[in-house]
Amino acid sequence: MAEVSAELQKTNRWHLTADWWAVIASLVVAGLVKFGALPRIPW
Amino acid sequence: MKMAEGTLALPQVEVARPVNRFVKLIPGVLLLAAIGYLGKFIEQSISSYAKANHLHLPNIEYVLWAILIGLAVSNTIGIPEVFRPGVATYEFWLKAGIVLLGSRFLLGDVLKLGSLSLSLVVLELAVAFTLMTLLGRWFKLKPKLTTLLAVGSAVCGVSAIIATKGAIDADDEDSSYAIAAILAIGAISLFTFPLIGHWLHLSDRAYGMWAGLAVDNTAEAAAAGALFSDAAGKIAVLAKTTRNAMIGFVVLGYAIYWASKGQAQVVGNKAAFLWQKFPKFVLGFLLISVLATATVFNKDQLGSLANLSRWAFLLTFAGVGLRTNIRELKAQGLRPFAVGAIGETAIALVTLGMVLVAVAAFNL
Repeated sequence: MAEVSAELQKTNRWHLTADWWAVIASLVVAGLVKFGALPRIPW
Repeated sequence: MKMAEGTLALPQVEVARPVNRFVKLIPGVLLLAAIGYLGKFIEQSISSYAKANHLHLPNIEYVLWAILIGLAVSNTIGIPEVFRPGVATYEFWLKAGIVLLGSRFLLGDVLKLGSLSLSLVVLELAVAFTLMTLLGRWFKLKPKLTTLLAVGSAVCGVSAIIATKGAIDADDEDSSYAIAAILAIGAISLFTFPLIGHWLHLSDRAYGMWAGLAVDNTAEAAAAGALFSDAAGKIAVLAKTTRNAMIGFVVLGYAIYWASKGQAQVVGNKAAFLWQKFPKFVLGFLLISVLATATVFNKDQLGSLANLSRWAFLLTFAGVGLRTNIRELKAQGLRPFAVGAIGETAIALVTLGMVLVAVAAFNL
């Protein structure tokens, strides 16, 4: 059970950090797109 | 001399750690990208083969291929240890995909669709809580396990369960049961929702709204939407994000309830509690939408941002398959799953009814 608890706490921390990292990374990428530092991204 | 070595060694360790952690992510991220891209490649190959041979083959979206390949890998050979840290980043790609998806919504659309989905979400929350609480009592589940299942099915799956677990001092065992039940049901919804949506000839908007309201985990909701169509995927994410934004209020409500029974810690500063539980990527989504509305990006740049969002979702969908281990889910016992499954089916039916009424009333 202690292992499960540690795993959950780790997941919880990751949930919170993933939120901020996603915002920061997306804004940086949006900035790069805006100022032409990235080529046109195809799909 | 020893001192000097010590002081020199410390900063090196500090620098090496984040780099080391980053390097450890690479194999798993490459695996996500390879599986996702293979899914896209299979979709394109089938479609060009059908075109070249004048065949009418049903178009199976890359989303389904990526999930199926992921499922096959994790349930046969398993995920080797070296890939695990990187595979866990699917959560990051999901959130980055949602933030960048903000570029495909004008703020007016966000407000219009968001307020409609917000009112539907409030109704859905009421239905989900009542149903799950009653079912939990009938099946004699522990009250805190019922709370976790109610939160998981009403708001947003795993994140909501984890957030609530801490706030109401629930057992680890209860939270792993609830998480397993919600994940198993999410996997089933993923395959049933698109079939039902096509069978009922729902519009992209109506289907997207339904998937966003009724499918629990954000990754599964996005995938269930994208399996129907690109446009439906976009709406599903918006509706699901509105639901996610409610997480703080729901967790706070339950924390106060359990604290009043003396079975959880009293919440001190409620505003700080709400902010701590609020999914911050929602703010990023709104910010990008505001920038897109203010014409900060030109048409080509908006296209690039939308495509970046699609690439991020591609990695997420590969992660959904890879993280679903059928044997582990089976091992979690039947009763929580039964409560979850009955509750979810009822919630899916009620939300479908709500969406159909909204479609008629608001001409979706």
